[in-house]
Amino acid sequence: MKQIYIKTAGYLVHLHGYGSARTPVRFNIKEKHLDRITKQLKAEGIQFELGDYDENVLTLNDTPINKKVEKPVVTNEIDMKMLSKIIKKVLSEVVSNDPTIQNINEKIEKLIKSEKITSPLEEDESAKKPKKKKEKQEEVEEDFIPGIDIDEMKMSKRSSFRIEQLESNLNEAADMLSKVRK
Amino acid sequence: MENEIIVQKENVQQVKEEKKPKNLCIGLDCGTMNLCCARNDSPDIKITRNVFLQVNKDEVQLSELTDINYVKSEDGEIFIIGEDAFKFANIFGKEVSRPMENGLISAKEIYAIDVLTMMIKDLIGDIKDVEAYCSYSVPAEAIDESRSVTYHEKVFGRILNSLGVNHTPVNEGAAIIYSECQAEKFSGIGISFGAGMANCCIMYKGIEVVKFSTARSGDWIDRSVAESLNMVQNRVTSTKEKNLDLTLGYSANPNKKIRRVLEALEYYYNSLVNYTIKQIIEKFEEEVDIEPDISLPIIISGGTSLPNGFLELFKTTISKYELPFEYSEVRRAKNPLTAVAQGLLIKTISDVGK
Repeated sequence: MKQIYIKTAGYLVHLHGYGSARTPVRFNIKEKHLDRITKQLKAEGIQFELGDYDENVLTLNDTPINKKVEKPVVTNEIDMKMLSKIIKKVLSEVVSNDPTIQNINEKIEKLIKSEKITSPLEEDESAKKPKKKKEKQEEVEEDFIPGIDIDEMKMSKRSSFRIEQLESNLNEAADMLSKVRK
Repeated sequence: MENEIIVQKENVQQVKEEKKPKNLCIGLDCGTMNLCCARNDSPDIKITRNVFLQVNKDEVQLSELTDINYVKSEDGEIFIIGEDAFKFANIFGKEVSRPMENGLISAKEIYAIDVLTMMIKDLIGDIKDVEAYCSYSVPAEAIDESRSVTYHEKVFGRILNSLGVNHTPVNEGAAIIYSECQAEKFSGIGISFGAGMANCCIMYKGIEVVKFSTARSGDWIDRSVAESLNMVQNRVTSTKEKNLDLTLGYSANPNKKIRRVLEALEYYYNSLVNYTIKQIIEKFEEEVDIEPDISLPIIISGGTSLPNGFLELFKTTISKYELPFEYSEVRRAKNPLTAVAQGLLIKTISDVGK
């Protein structure tokens, strides 16, 4: 087993049997596949480093390239989701076509227009989402973002041009926005 | 003597003020074609082309690039950036590299994020001794494409982090309303026809009601024309920016070659406007159940809306459709190139304070 380390950030590489991964990435590979993979990386112009096997990094499957890919297994969970979506859709169509519901909707609209009840517009969509799930998603996604290293980069001169700001009283506009959003 | 005393007092006050870091508010429009930055301490908005061109370091001497904007990396790679990259690419018939593609960070360009960071650093300018706060633009999820905007949002967050700037993502369409609809108490339909995407946000009294984007806009037009006429895409962009006038029409141009490009551009502009309006109608019918009791203005912005006659084209096209909403007028942003950055700056000041 050997370890390949693609150091340069910003590539999206497909690792056989594992899926896509964003570089920088390390993975172990059997020596019999080493020649083929390094040739491919060189042909693509992707720089890499070879190292010894490390049990802490990802080890690629030993499946031959031409082996038939297994069909994805549809789990019960996905089935249930699909089913619940279909049921929801059918129900909403049935409900929205019901003359009684339409009548109620019309009455609600009239009440909103006459300001007797508040419009549900102010509901924030993000508030509806479960927070815990979102936080977890963010943690995972952070790993995909390549590091930024501009310490050694130099710019010859300023590349931008300037246009005069048209809004003369930004503070007034910002105050008004704060008041409207309260 | 009396004057001297006064001067001394003022100096003491100045020293005291300098100790406390001031808040600097920034609006940063991260567009596919242009990066645009507005600061509350500057009367100007800075713009740069969001493109670069990697040149072979063995073929070019740095001394030959004295008047050219470029970035040199640690390992000696040279990237011509901004407008100069665009001009160079057109001269040599090459395609420029784009840090962003179809409105989002490109995964294809290896150096994209570092070069982009350098360009943003240059745009933002000096932030020494201040606490910098920035609202940066993000597109809404596209309704006709499956790519997620999360990665894009996070990358820009990381870039601003690396520069020491506090940051908040703000929807691009919403920024147009912040900039252009103060008279309507921040209610309106903002449509930004950028290079990568068309972004639409329906806002009512400062609250985003619906926001979405479509993956067709300026680049789609240029790409379609380039494919149809077998041309390099940035040459189409260049012809579009220099010659397209939708009011005069392509036939007014005396040059046969240019006329051919303009004719194709007009065709795809028509198609883009029709497509976007259809998507807006569909989205309204699907998601907006309640009509506000006022008719909202439609604000058109973005670089793709710059050609003369675009507003008229939009007005004529929308009048042909039966709409599920009322609109009071269709108007163009005061400056379609800077409206988003300006709106983002207003949002930052509103959030952070003066």
